[in-house]
Amino acid sequence: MARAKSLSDPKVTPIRRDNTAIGFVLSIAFHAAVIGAFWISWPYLHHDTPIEPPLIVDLVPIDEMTTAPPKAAPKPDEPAPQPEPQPQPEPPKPDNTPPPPDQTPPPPPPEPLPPPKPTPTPAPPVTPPPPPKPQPPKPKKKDDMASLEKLLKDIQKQQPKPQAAGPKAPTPDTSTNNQAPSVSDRATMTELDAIRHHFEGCWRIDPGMEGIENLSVEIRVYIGLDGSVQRAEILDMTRYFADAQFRTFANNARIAVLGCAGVPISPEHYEELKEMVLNFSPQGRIN
Amino acid sequence: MDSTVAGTAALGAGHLSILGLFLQADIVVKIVLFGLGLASLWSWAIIFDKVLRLSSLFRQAEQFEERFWSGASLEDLFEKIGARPRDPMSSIFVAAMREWRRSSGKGGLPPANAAGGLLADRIDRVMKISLEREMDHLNRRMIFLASTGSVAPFLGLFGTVWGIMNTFTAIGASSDTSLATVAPGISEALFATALGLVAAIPAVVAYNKISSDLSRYALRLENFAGEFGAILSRQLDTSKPHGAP
Repeated sequence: MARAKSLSDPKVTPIRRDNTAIGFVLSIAFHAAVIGAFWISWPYLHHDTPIEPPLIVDLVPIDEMTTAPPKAAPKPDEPAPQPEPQPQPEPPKPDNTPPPPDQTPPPPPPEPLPPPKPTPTPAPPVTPPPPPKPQPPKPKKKDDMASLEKLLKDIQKQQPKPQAAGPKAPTPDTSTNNQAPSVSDRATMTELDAIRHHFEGCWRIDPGMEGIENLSVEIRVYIGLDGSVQRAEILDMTRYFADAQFRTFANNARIAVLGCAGVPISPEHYEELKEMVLNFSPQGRIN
Repeated sequence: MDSTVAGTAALGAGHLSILGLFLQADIVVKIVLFGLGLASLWSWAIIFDKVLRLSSLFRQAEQFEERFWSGASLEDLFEKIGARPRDPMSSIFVAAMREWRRSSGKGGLPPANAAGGLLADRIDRVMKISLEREMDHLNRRMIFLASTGSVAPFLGLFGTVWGIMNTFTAIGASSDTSLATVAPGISEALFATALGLVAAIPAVVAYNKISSDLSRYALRLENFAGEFGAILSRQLDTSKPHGAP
């Protein structure tokens, strides 16, 4: 019995020094150190990355020059072609506008004609083409009328030529002028051009504005990370307040830019492109 | 411009810092992250505790064996260590010596009539029990390391799946699949897996290391117990003929 008691003597068990507390303190310190290291190093790591990649590009082959081929540029450049043909036609317009009065007079002569020839009247709508033919007989009756109609004829003869040559010729000309630098067939674009192009798509220029040839406005654009336009400032504020036409033009361009979200800006080049100055030219181009 | 810069800065800070990721997370993900953090904390506490204790145990075993084999009298050693052994090896020694003394009486001589074989058996058994008790104590909490190593990745994975489910719900609600919508949720969700792995990897490595160290130490204790048992039984055999005549 005594042995059994002494066997279970607690004194036999060794002193167990508990290191758990020390371990726990060390563990907390270790975690704090690791978290602190991450806390410090992360922002630096992430600040470095966006700066490294050089500028440029996607969509199309990269080249030193940006050349817009006739296919790519004209279609999206809807605003550009529209204004272009119109300003150029302006000179021909004076030519065109006189003809209409000229053309309208010829109908009147036929009107007097019907009385002399009541029989052919059944087809008055058809007659308009014939009138030139009946006209020659009239000059015999009235010299004034004849001379006038000769004039008209001459003009009419002249007209078809300019009309045939005019509308057809100018359009190819303007298109070539617009996309003049298309030396190569490949489409090349920098990201900056893509952004300009995007804004051009939003801009509807008023080609009939007075003195538009002399207007161009520089706008500083701030682009958000999500491609939204955050702010657009007109640079030349003195002229903005002084010149009403310029103000209209500039406001037009500024509103176009502001309403033109979804700018194709890539996050890696955001820092370079988030702020840019765009020059809005009267040809509907943005430089 | 200032506003955009501030915006991007806030974006970067809010999305990438640990605290930001934690605060943005869903409540379930938060619980998972919190649990993983606690598991990591506790497993590291165990790791530190075990590593420190093992290194001190090996050192103490070294010292004790040096004293044991120094040729000094075992009785003296027993008197020195007394009733308060400091490490498992000395506690095994104390247990064996105590049993030896009790059986042999206060005089220190083994009983002439007692069956020496029985006494040797008893000493062996006492040492074995003491060894098992010590090893059992040393192996405590190792199970936590093992289960952290195996469960933490799953817990992290659960947090990730939950976070991604939330992200997809958010995408569906906003019907916007831009990276800005998708990225924070995914990042936050993946953070749970990352934390699970962070908790699990050290736990697994430490478990392997510590358990191999423990088994080495257990082997050392067993060897010592065997050697000591052999010494005592030899003592019995040599004293038997002495006491028999």
